[in-house]
Amino acid sequence: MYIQLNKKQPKLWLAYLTLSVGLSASTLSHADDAKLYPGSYCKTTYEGGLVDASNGDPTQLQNTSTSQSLFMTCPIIRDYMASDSGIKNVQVRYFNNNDAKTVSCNVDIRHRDGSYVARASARTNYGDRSGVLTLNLNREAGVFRSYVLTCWLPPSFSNTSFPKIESYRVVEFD
Amino acid sequence: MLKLLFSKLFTSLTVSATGGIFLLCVSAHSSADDAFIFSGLECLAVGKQNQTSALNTRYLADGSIANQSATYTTTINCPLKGLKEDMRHIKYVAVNFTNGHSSRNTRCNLYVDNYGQRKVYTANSLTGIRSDVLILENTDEDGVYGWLTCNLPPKSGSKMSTIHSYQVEYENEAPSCNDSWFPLFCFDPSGVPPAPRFAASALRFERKTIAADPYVSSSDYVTNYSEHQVLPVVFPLVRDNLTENIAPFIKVKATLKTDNISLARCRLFQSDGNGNPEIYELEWTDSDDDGVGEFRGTGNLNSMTNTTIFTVQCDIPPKSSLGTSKLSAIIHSEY
Repeated sequence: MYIQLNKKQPKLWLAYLTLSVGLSASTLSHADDAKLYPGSYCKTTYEGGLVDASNGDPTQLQNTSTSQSLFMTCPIIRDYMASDSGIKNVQVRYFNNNDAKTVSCNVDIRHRDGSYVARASARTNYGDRSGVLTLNLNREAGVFRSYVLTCWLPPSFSNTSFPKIESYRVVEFD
Repeated sequence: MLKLLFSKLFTSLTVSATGGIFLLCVSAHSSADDAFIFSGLECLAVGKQNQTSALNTRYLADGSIANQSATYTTTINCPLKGLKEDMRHIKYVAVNFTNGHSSRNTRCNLYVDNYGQRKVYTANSLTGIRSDVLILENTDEDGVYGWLTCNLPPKSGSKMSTIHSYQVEYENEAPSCNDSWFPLFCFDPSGVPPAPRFAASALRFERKTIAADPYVSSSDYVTNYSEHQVLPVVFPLVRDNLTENIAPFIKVKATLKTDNISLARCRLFQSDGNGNPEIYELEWTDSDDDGVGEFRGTGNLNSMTNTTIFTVQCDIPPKSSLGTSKLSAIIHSEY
C-alpha cells in the first residue's frame, strides 16, 4: 500500500492504529436505507460518447435514437461502510415503447480498483411497456467496495415517445 | 457477533508490496462519525467540456472516470457532497485510483473551505502502473465544504489512469450556522438547521445541450463562457428520506454571480415519472445588489410521494463586458 500524506502523517496513522472499541449499540443494529435517484443522475454513452438524453425533461433519461441502444452508467452512493453491509435491491422505473426489445440492468459490487465482486441482473419481458425492474442483490459488500448500476435502453420504436429510465431506488442494509 | 464486531472495527487489512502490514482502524464507525463512498462517475473533467481534457475523459462501466489519452494529462473535479453529512466536518478523503503511466504519477488535491478560508492538501502517488489509494486528511479544525481535484496522467500502455471511487469521512458534529459564509449552508440565519439537509455541488451537473459551452473550474463553480448562448445546466437531486410517515419537504437554493440577471433563472422540476413534471420557478434574491444572490423555492408537498423525484435546472447567462457568470452551489433539504 503506497500512501503519501502531506501533513500530520503520524497523527493520521496513530488515529488509524487506535482501536475504537467503544462502539455504540446503534452502530451494530441492522437497518435498511433507501435512496431515490432521478434517471438524469446517470451518465449516458453511445459508442463511448457522452450524449444529451434528457430531451427536455431533466428528471429522466431517454433514448431518442431509433437505431442505437443507449448504455447508462448510474452512480450509487454507498452510505453503510461495514463489511457486512451491502445492497439489498435496486428498483429501476422504466418506460419502453419497443415491444421487440427489452430494458436490462446490472447492479455491481466492485473492488476499490474497479474489478468485479458480485452482480445481480434483470431484464424486462418483451412487450412490457412500463413498470419497475427489480434487481435483488442481497450481498454483503465488504469494506471499501463501491456500487454501480448499468442499464441498456433499447432504440425507440417511434419519434414521439422514447424508452427511458425515470428513476432508480437503491436499498442498502447495515 | 465476533465477525460483526471485527467488521465494524477494521475497514482494511492491507499487505504492501514491501511486506508491511497496516491495520486501518475504523474511527469511521464509532458512533460519532459517518462516511460515504462515491464512484468516479460523480467527477467531471475540468475545463471547457468540448475541449481536450473533457473529450479525453470517459466514464467506465465499472463506475470509474478515466483518462483515455495516451498523450495528455486530464484534471478532474469531484464533489464531496454527502447527504445530510454535508453539514459535518470533513475528516479525510481516501481516493481509489489506478495510475496508468510507467513514469508519471497521479496527484490529488483536497480543497476545504472553512468560512471563506480555503486550505488545500496534496497527495501524490508513486509512479508506475498500479492501483492504489491516496489519503488526504483535513487537519483543519473545521470545514464542512470542499472538493477534490486529481490529475490523471496519460496511459503509457493499455491501462488507463482512473479514479474508481473515493471515500469521504465526516465527523458527526454540525458546525454552527453562519449565513455570511459562502457558499451558504444556512437557510435561516438563526442557527443550525432542524432537520437532515442535502447539498449538491454545482460541479455535479449534467449538460442540457451539447452545443452549450460550460466550463468546469478546478474550484467549486460552473461558468458559461459563451458570448451569446444561455447555458442550461441540470442538477439531479438524490432523495434520502423516503420514510412514508415523514412528509418530505424540499427547498432549493442556488448562488449565482452575474451582471446579467435578467437571463438567469432556476427552476425546480418535480416529477412522478409521467413525463409531465411540475415546474416551480425559484425566486432570485440579491439583498445587497452586488450580483451574488440566491434562487429559492420549494416543491409541492401535497403532490409528493415516496417515488417523486426532483431536479433543478438553472440557466447561466452568457458572458458580457463585465465578465462571466458563475453558478456555485445547489442545495436542497428534505424534512
